[in-house]
Amino acid sequence: MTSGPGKIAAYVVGALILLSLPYGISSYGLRVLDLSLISAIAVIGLCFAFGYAGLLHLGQAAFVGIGAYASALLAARFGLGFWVTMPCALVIAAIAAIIVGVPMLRLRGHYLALATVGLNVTTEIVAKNWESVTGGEDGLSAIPTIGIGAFRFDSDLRFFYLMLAMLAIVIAIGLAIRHSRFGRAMIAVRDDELACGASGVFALRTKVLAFTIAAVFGALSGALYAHYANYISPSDFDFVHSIAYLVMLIVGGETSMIGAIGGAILIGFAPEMLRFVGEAYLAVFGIGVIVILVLMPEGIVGTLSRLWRSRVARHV
Amino acid sequence: MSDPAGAPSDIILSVRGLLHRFGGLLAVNALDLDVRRGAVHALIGPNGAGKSTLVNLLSGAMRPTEGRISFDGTNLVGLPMYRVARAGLARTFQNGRLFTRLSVIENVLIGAERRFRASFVGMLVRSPRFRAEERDLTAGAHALLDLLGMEADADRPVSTLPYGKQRKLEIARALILEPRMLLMDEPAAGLNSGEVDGLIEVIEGLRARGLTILLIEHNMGLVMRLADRITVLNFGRKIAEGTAGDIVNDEQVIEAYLGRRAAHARLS
Repeated sequence: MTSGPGKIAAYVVGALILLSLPYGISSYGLRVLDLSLISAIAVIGLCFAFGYAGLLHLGQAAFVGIGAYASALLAARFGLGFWVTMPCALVIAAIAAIIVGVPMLRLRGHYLALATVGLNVTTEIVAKNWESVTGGEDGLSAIPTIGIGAFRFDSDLRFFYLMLAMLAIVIAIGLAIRHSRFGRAMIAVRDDELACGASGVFALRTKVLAFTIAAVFGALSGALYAHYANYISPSDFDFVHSIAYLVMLIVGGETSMIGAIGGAILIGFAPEMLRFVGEAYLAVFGIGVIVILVLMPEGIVGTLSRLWRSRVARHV
Repeated sequence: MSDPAGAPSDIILSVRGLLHRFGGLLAVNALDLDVRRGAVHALIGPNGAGKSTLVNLLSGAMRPTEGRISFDGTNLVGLPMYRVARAGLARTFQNGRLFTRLSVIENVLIGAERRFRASFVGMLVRSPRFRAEERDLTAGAHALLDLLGMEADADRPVSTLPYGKQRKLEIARALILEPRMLLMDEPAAGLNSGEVDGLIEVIEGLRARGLTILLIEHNMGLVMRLADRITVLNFGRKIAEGTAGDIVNDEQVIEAYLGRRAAHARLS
């Protein structure tokens, strides 16, 4: 939560690492990286709902799906380009989040968690069964690639740089929200809801706002995914993905947008890094996550920044 | 500040027939209370007298079983807490409730919520109104910290603040709301004598600025020094009301605090 030179240095180092990432990894690795960065945007969204506002949100994949289907359908039905369909998808996701959020966010703790699971499962069932619109289990194919004018982001390397630009915009917006009264109110609501009320903060509206921001970032992630993979089906947005987003966030550091990106990349590459364990992958992965949570409860970025601060403090 | 004639508009908070039941227990029982504008009004009573319940009823944290609460002409019964705060009735908490993941200055700014007008979109596009508001209210928050002698702590995480400063920070968070009345729930609890002196100075400063204060307090030294008027509660009922001089000689009050026999021993 601190700002200053340390934070700026962290962003510069992070940006340099990201810029150099495509070099020296395989073409398959680059594809995994692109997919990880797409996930990272959904995870940054979850940082607002869960990390800041403390909403136990287990349905983020539902909004990723809404964004993906909305953008893909608008492109297929009306022949519109990504730069038109994507903003429409974000607006649709925001409206859906507000409609669902106003009644649902009155629930707390594990009741809310269960409701968000229900939301995710319901969305999945609709996507599977509303065949005339969503194509059912077969999904939607031939979704157009993103382009600007005649230029197409049709290679993994080109898409990687598009993703860096997208992440830069998302983080800039995210930081603006975090350091405004809206971001402060979200953190305050998680810290002490009673004291929030006494300070004149309308907690429910703050929660709905955090949930809606999460949905909009989730929908952006989904729209990017649809136009990157050129194909979507309901299983891309099932409950397992919501859990994965939450794991990425917590492993990276639940109140850090840089942590969200780090967590997304780490979890995205986990199957590759753990290839040598073969059949035992899920067990090793699960134990690995538990070890990180026990040893680094603030997540990787939270722990690193604490070590960095104490190191700086020693040298001052 | 206070006008001895006591015209009706001089009463900022008026409570009539307030009653709150927890199961079979009447925590607050048919209570009438008037707080005069600009006064420091103390509410005292032994443990379990219903003081904390009353604060929670007044601030909207709990809804009374029966009764009316009128604040400057506004009915407060049934309003959620944030609406009571926005109506201009701020409060602090008995054990101190701060936002531990925010810095000191950010904690103060949370209290400014009702004074922000810019929309979310205005924030995203950095509208002139948004920038002016953030600048002015941040300056206001710094000025309040300065007033309380905490300006040097503005960017610290609250978890690193000593206890006395945490209590002061809560007062700053309530003051930035620009309340017309402040409920202070045991502000001296846990403070050392030096810190209590500092608190008395702060409250005297607020009184000088015309702020009405309802003070719930166990520290009788502080109450006797500050209160213009004292209401004594016992078992949810008002048993006495008056100036400090009236209260110390009141038989019922002595009995409530010291027990019946001690009261007789003292009076005889």
